[in-house]
Amino acid sequence: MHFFIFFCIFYFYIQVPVSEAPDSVGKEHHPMRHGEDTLQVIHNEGATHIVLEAIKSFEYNPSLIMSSIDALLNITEDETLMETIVRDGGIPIVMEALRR
Amino acid sequence: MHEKKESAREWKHLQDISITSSRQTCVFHFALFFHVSRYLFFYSKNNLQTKFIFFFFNVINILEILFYHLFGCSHDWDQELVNSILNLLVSMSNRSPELSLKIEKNGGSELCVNVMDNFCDSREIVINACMLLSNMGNAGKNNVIVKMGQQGVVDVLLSIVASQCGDATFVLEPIHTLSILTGDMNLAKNIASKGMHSICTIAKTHMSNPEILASVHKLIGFLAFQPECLRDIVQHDGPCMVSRVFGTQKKKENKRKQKKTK
Repeated sequence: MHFFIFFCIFYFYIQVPVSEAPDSVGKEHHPMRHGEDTLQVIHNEGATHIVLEAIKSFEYNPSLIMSSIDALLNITEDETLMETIVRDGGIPIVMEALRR
Repeated sequence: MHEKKESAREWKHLQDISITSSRQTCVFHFALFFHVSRYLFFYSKNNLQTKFIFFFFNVINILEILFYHLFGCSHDWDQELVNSILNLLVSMSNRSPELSLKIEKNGGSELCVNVMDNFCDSREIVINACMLLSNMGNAGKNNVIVKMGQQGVVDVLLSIVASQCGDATFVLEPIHTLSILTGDMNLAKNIASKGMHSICTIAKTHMSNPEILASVHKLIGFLAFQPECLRDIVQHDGPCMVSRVFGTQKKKENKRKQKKTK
């Protein structure tokens, strides 16, 4: 879980359009990439949902919650992605994390 | 054999606990002491020394937990965690008033008050909480401001302003939040009666800082809209302070003119 969240943060900073690696192992498991925005791909793969779930379920792991919050902070840079986070109930989850 | 496996599993579980918050540290200590003393007790049942160690460790741990709950902080929040969550909430509330209102509906103002109360010495946390409160106050107008007032925002902010008078950058954002809270008449009266002294002290100590002077005078200006606050302003040398600011500005201008003529 830690690795996944750090991966999201790392890829946000790089912001390279995604293209399929020639010897990709996971090629058959997801649709073809055509140079989409990295952040959009991270969101499409369900990263925001997983990050929110991580905040909700790992309530006694502050380091994991902090990494998740950092990932959310990067994802919310995009206006449309922020709207989907809010629609997924991101605000109550984050507030609950602060309340614990 | 079974006992060994169980102990290995328990030890692994102990290692897995991340010791970041103080409550978790207490729990970790308790578990560690309990296991150590249990093994000592198990291997030498009739030894008085081990019985004493067992007793000593557990008494220390009970005292630790008691002291933590009686004299320690009331929450076991990690400061960095609180700061990062506040960062996220502030960046969200900066985007649109609707989001600010949504945060407020989820108990944002109450949490800000609690956070500021617990981490009143942390500059980043106080500034972020104040920014969030300002955004919520601006978005919700009077209803939200009244709600904030009921939760005791004014008292917390005034205590921070009074304790951090000397630090201009620390005090700037709380003063801005106070000036937003003057939108409600009762809160304005409360600010004037309880906080006028510290507001004037800030202005006097930072006479050469135009940024802080601007925000202090903005706050006094908003307070002056309520006739009941005028008495407090005059009592604390408000007009005199304004004229002193003008005086220092005139002196500076005169010095500049003198330099030019030379």
